[in-house]
Amino acid sequence: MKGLLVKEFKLTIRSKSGFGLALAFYGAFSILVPFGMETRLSALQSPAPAILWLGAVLSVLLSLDRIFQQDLVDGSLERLATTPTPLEAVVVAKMIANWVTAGLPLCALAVFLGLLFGLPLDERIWICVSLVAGTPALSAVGTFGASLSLGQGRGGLLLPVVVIPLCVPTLILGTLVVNRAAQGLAIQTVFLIEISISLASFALMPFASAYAVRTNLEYS
Amino acid sequence: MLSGLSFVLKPGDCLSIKGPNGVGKTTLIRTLAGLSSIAEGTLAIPEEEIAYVGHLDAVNPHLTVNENLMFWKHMLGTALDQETIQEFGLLGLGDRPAEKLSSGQMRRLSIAAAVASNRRILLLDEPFTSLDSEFSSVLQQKLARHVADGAIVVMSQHSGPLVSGAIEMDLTPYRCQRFVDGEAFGERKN
Repeated sequence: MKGLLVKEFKLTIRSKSGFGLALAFYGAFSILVPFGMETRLSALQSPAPAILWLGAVLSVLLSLDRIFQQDLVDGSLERLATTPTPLEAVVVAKMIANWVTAGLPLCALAVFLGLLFGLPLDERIWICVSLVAGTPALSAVGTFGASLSLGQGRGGLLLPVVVIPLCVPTLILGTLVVNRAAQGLAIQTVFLIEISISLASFALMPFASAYAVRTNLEYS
Repeated sequence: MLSGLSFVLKPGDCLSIKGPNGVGKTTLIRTLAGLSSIAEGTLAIPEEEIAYVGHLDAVNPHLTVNENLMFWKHMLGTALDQETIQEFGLLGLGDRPAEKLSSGQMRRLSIAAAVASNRRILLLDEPFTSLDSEFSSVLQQKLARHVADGAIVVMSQHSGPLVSGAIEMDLTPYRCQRFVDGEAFGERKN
């Protein structure tokens, strides 16, 4: 597991498009959206949590292509399936690596991007907190989608079709946490449900994902 | 793709699988490695003893030679036999990114990562492909020593030298008739 994580982090840092791509897209998306909106501060502020959350979902989606692709092309995935390391552990390592390299940086960036929408500091911090709680689910569901669409190569239609509907509950709850916190309402229940979706995704998706990888390898 | 195939290998056996293209050599190796399932019959192989080298090299081009070796060492959970690394001429290439390697060097790295693990069952798919005569003979001798030490080697082989004492098996008679006739692909012969 440690070896897998070290490899994933090294590869992400070295890849020319990998690490910065999700961040750059998130930045560009969040900078461009206000240009298409009314310039009144109140008109910018109210949809801001939803926009920042939607940007995060799309950015994570952009990073999913590379999760298994290189390992599939160079034959590593096939050889990994024959080692004593269970494929479930391989998938968990990939989920963690995807979250740390694609999900977590977005959470930090969101604090600054919130400025563009004129959000106060406490609301920006809530966006960051709700993203930290919700993005693990996006990475877990995304890794599952990536393993389902293994044989399709890059740019397959199956990946977004599978992943986007599964991201909807996290998107709704993540936005709800920020909106309720901004209005001073109780957020405990919504926040706990959001966290539980992330935990459940991390606990269950590796099994589904490993099964999908195994099936794809059998017919490759 | 194959039917009626039955064999037993014991420690110290080397099986060289032969046959024309498409006969099922890779399928058999992949099945033994647990990557493909069998439709009928039984397969008894201690999975924790397997080291598998497929027709792809399983070398990540963005990692260095040493990083690739260390990765497979971690994954196979065994020590990395430095003697093997040296024999395969990889000591001087340690810090070179794998993308800068020639296809022969890449193949050497791929095989060394599996062979250096000292696993008791080696499953190799066309291991001599891309190897020059010098390293073909290094591999041949290495496998012979492995077999003499009680390991089991199964390899599909189109070309390259034969490991001494290897059992040769031609898969042609075991080719499933449904695949020969094309029936399995829905194209019956008249």
